[in-house]
Amino acid sequence: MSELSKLISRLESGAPLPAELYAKTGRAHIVGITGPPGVGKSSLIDRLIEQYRRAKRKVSVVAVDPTSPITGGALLGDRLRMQRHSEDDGVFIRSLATRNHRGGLTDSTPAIVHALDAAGFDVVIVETVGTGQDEVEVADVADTVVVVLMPEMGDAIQRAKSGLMEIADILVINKSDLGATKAEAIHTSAKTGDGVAALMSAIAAHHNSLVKSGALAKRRARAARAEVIRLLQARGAATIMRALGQPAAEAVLAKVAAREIDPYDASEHLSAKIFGDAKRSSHGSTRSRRQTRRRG
Amino acid sequence: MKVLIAKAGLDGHERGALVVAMGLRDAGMEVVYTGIRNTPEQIVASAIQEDVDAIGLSSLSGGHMAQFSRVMELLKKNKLTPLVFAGGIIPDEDVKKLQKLGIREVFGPGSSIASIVEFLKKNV
Amino acid sequence: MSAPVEQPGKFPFTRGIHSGMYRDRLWTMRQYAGFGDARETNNRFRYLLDHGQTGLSMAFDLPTQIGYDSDDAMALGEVGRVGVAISSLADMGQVFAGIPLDKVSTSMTINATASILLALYLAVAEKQGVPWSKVSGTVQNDILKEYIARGTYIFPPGPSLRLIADIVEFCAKEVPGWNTISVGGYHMREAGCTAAQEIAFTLADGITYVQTCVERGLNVDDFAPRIAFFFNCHMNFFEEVAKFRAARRLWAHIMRDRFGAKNERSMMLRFHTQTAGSSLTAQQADNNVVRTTLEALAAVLGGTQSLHTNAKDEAIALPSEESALLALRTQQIIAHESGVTAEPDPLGGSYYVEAQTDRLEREAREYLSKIDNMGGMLKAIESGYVYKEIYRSAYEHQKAVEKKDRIVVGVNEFVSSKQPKLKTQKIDPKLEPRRRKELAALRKKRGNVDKYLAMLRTSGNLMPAIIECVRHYATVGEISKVLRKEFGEYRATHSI
Repeated sequence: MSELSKLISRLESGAPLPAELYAKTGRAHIVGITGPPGVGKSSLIDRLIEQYRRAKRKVSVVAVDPTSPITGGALLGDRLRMQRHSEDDGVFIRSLATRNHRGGLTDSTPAIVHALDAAGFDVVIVETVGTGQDEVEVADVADTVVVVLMPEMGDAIQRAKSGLMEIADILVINKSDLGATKAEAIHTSAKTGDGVAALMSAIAAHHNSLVKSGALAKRRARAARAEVIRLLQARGAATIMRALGQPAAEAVLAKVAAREIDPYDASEHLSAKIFGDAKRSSHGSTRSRRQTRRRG
Repeated sequence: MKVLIAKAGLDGHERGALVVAMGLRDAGMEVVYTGIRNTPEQIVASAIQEDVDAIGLSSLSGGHMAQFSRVMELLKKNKLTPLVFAGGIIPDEDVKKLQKLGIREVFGPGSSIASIVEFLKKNV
Repeated sequence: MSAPVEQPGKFPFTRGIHSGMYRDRLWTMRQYAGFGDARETNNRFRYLLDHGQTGLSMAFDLPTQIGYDSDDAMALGEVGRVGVAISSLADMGQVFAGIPLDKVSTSMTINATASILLALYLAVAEKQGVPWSKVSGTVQNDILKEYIARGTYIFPPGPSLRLIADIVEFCAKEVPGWNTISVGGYHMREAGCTAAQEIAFTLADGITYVQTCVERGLNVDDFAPRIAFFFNCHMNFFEEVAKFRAARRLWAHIMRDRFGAKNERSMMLRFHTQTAGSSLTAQQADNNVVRTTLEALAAVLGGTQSLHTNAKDEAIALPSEESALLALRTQQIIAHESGVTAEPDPLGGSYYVEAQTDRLEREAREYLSKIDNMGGMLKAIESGYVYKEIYRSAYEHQKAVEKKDRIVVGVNEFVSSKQPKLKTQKIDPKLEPRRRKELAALRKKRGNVDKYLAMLRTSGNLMPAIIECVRHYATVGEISKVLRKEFGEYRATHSI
């Protein structure tokens, strides 16, 4: 446990996943659980863990909470609702702060999920807050996405417009003890435990259907692609930032601030330096915009 | 910096622990708060899984000697060395005993969040 | 200046629930006490009674409050610490040795296990030959605040409310002198809420209990006169006086208009007050005597029926005999030397106090409205709303103190480098092992109690079954274990 935990910390700090571990991944069922704050995701996961453990499956949970953009700190309170499982050797719970990564996860979540997968957990649950269009990243990482809502959250159809509904494989209405809705969903109550067995079955059924139909492979291919793209973007961003730190680049930025050149020309110039783009290729539109502005 | 704030034993008064947790968050730390009625075993298991840099233990009901010494014992057994500090209602004569066990600092009533933040920043 | 329209002893009782108040009868001086074992508690009770205390107030240790016997693994390190350890009728009998239960009234700060401790008290009365009709006292029996501000819950809300109603129903018939619920704002205030929230959250809890009993089929006037309240008294002097007045006014209207009470005694908000523990400082502990005095005075000017004054060392330990005595003397001096008891609600008519009363009433009404819109206090608690309000308020207070927007003498201003050593109360380390031995001996002597414990699996009123269990020396832990299995255990889910 301690070794795994330390590995996760290294991954959290940006270290790459040890190469030999990636080969061991692919066995675990990755379940994303998302939904607005206050619907009871953590309490529901607490119940799910109970069920999985009864079925002798090993479960890990990655619980993501937002970092305050102002203070840089985070209060990670999801674990509290699952604390009764903390001594169970077949359960591993780790709280992560987003550290200002947008999209609902952290930069390191894909790598951490791989580490837990490789460590032998049958199920890896990724819990994140999801409210709207922005927080759908969990779909890139999970085989099954469970969206959790609760009764009296307003028109369920309204929800359909949000990005959240587009990524849901299973829809859950938790806190069903508070009231009924007509939505086609699994109705659970983390408080009483009602519906949790049904949810676990639905997750298993979804997994089976993914495997049988071959969709799992497609999904995982998509997830791998997304992960590589993200890593490339991170590399690219790091390269850019390093370059901008150079005096030559600083001089260009100073010119933009003084309105001697515009940002588009500056980025063209710097891009050529950093990435070696040919100056002339597809920049026609930029040039004409600049010319238009001068005339306007 | 990642800190675990936990209450051991049966005491259910959370105000101090919560105020410290919020204060540390606003000082830029990642704080895991595990609520009330944690056993020493649960506290140490959480500390392992969360790989925290520091653990803050809160006790108001007087059970701190039995409970905190058990926490320190388990940390030692698992070869863990987070910075451990405590707060709540802990008599002066017990402070020295706790320090001997490895609890670096005890923040009694009236302690400021600022002093705890300073202590953590200096010692972690 | 014209006299205020409201009158003491008249609806809505803003100015006091009696027309003469302390002119006719002083408030009860009821100092909270209890620690260690039954014998030590008995000694402290007799000491306080001998020195003029007029009612007993009993503190239990956490294992007893949470349904664990002193020898349970969960009790490790906690036995006898914050109150007396009571596991059986033997213990309870010893607490009241030499204290006839028809001569004192006893308030027991007990919630999740209130039914068991009440049963024990009644069994002791039985042994003393005192009929239940002559017994008087209170059980706190207020589970809602436990879920958010005090933490000694066991069962989920449904079964907990059922137990509360069982006590109310049972006492209405069998123990008419018993106050069956003491709805508390003290703890929520200690946890950090504001004065307006203290009123609102307390009355909202009260509304839930009354509602529960009404839904049980009880007539509101049959039990409401026996519901009491428990408030904090903090340092903002005039605000606290106004708080009590506003609370009385609001409750009277709630009982008459919302619940249709006809008996005026159902509309009277009777309350016990404790001076604010959270206002005490460990630094310069003598200052706490001054704080407690001001708070006690505010509670008296606010018309409390019963009062506990904190001892100066209560910020760091259970009070020593000397400091407990001084706390009692504080009340006696106010009662007998200050002259404030000559007139009910002496501050009534003061522009400032009336304005504060109206303001607090208005703010409390807003909270009550909000809570109603959430579907009631239970839903408000379960949604996490109340928890967040309380602890965010606590955090704001802390920030204000650290910024020195709020001054606490001796802590962030007027500090001294020298800290005199305080002699504090210690708990005997041999207590826990001694209790283990006692319980082993008790269980051996009494034999098997399973047939009595089996009676607890009833859907009827549990009080008779619990009383039968304790008569035969079934323990607090054994009874609680059966109920835990029946009802399940509450799991905390709140976070900020």
